[in-house]
Amino acid sequence: MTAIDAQGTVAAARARRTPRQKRDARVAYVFLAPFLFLLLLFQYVPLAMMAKNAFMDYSLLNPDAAKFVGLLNFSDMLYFDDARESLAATFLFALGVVAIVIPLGFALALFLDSKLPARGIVRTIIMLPVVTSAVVVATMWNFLLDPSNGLINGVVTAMGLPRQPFLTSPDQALVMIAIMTAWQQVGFAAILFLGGLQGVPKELAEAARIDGATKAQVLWNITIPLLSRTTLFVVVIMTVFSLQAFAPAFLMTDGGPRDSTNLIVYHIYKTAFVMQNAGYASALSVLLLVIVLGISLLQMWLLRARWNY
Amino acid sequence: MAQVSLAGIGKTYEGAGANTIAGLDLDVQDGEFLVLVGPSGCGKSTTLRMIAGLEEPTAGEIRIGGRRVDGLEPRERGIAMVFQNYALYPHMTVAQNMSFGLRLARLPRAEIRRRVEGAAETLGLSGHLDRHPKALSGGQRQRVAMGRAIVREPEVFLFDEPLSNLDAQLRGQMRAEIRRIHDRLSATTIYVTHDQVEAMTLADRVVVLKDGRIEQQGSPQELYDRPATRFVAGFLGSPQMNFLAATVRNGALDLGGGAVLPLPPGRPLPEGRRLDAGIRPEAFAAAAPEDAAFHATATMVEHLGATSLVHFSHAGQDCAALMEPARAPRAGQPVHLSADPARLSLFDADSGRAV
Repeated sequence: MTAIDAQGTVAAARARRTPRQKRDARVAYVFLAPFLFLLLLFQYVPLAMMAKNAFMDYSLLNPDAAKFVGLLNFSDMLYFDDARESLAATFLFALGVVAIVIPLGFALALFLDSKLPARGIVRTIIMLPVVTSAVVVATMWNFLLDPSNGLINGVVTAMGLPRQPFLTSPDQALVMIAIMTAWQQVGFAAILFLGGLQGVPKELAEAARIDGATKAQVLWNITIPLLSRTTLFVVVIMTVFSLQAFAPAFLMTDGGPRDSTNLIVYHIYKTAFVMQNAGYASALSVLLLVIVLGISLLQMWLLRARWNY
Repeated sequence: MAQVSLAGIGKTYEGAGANTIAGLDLDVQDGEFLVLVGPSGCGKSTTLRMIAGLEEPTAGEIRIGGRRVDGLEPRERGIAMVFQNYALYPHMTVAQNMSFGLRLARLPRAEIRRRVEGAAETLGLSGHLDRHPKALSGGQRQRVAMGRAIVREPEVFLFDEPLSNLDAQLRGQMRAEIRRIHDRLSATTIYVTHDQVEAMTLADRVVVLKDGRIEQQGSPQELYDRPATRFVAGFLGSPQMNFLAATVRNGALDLGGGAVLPLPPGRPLPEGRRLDAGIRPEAFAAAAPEDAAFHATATMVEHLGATSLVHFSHAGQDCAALMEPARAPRAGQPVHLSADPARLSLFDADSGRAV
C-alpha cells in the first residue's frame, strides 16, 4: 500500500511540475548536453565495444575476422596463469602504495595543519610530484635508480653498502615502483587529509584536552577516529589509482624482471597491442572494471554517514 | 573546591595592534557563581580560555586553589568546561562522551559507571546513554556536555556561552538547571555570556567586561540599580535604558525639549554641568498632561503581553517607556509621561562615569 501511495505521490508531483520547472529542466539539459555527448562518445561507446569484444576472438590487425567465442576469454583467464599473476602483482603494488601513502600523507597533513614555519614551501614541494606527468616522474626515477650511474646507488655505495640492482631484480623492482608511485601520490593524500583535518571542529580537540588528554591521546582518540571517512576515501582513491597504474611498468621495467612488475593495465596493453589478442585484453579490462567498480561500491557503502559533526 | 584568582592578566595577539586584555585582576571566591558578561570582542571568552589553559596569557598570573596554573596543561588545572557548540565527540555514545576523561585518568570501571550513571540521573539522560550525539536534541546535547563536566568532579566549572545555541524556552529551562546543579555541587563556577538575562538570573556576582577591562562588578541588582558607567547601564537591562542629554540649570535637570526634572535627592550638582541622564523604561509613568515632564507622540507601540513598550522621540532621541497595556497609547497618539528622579542614573557627558 505504502509503495503504491509513494508512487502515486511521485507521479502526482511530476504531473504538478510548473511551466517554470519544465523550462529550468530544459535549460539544465542544454547545459549538460555537450559534456554528455563527449562522455557518451569517448567513454560509454568504447566501454560497450570493449564489453562486446570480451566475448569475441578479435585482433586489431584483422578486425573483420572477429568471431564470437562466448565465455572462452574468461575461461582462459582461469586456465592460464597470466591474469592471476598480473593481478597478484598489481594488488601487491597497490598494497605497497597504500601502506606508504596513508601514514606518510597523514603525517604531512598534520605538519601542514600546524603553525610551523616553512609549511608553505613544504606544501608546494609535496604537491609538485602530483602535478608532474607520470612519464616525467618515471623517467626521472629511471635515472635515480640506474644501477651504475644512479644517484641513489651513489648514496648506497658512499655508505659502504653494495650496489643495488633495484629495477633489474625481481625482488626489488615492484617495491621500487611502489615507492616511486607513493612518492608521487603522497602530496595528493596529504591534501585530502589536510581537508579532513581542517573539517574537524577545533573545540573537539580542546574538549579532549580539558578532559585530560595529551596531544598523542587527542590524536589517537579524537582526530584519527574522526578522520576514518577521509582515510577510507584516500585508501580507495589510492587503490583504484594503483590498480590502473601503467607508466611505471611501461617506462621503467617493461613488466619485468620475470613479470614481477607486470601490472594489470600494462598486461592488458601488451595483450592487445603486442600479442594482438584484443578479445582477451577486452575480457581482462572487463574484469578490472568489475574489480574497480566493486571497490567503489564498497567505499560508498562504508562511507554512508554514521555520525557527523 | 577552589578560589580562582587572576592577577594582572594580559593577552596580546600577534599582529593585533592593541592588547585584547590588559592587566585584568579578578578574584573568584570558592563556590561562587561568577558571570563574565560583555559585548563580542570584549575578551570574556579569551579570559575563560586562559583560565582553562586553552590559551596562555602574555602577562600576569593565574591561580586556582592557591596553586599557580598558568603554563600548566588544561588537564593539570582541575577544571571542566562546557563549550558553546557542546563539542561532543560524535563517534562516541553519550556514556563514552561522559566517561572519556575518567577513562583517560584510568579510574576503576565501577567508579566510572557510578559517576556516569549518577550524572545521567541528575540530568535526565539515563535512557540515552547508548545513543550517539547525532540522535539527541539540542537540549540533550547540552546536558551531555554538562554531564561530561560533572563526572570529572572538578574544582572549577567553566561555561563558555553554553546556552546560545538553544531556543528561548529551552534556554530558560537549562538556565534554571545550571543554577540548580551549581547549588548542589557548590563548585566554583565561571560563566561567560553575552546575554544579560543569563547574567542577571544566574550570577552571584556579575563582571562586565569592555575592551578587555573590567567595567564594573557586583551583584546583578547592584549593577542594575547603580551602574558605574553609561556602558554598563546600557548593557544591562532589556529593554535598554534611555539616555538623554541633560544640563543642570536652576538647580534642576533640563532634559531638553521642555522636560525638566528635579535633581535626584542628595546629589547636588554644579550649575551648567553637562550630563547624560539614564532612565530605565520602567521608570517612566503615565501622567496627566499638566503633571507630565515628557510630552511626545508615540511612534510605535510593542505589546509584550503583561506590559507595552511605547516608543517615542524626545529632543531628537529615541526613547521607550514600559506602560500598562490599558494605559498605553496607540501609535500616533500623544503620550504624557513623568519619571521618578530617584530612579535616574546620571553620567558625566564626557567620561561616561556615574556622578
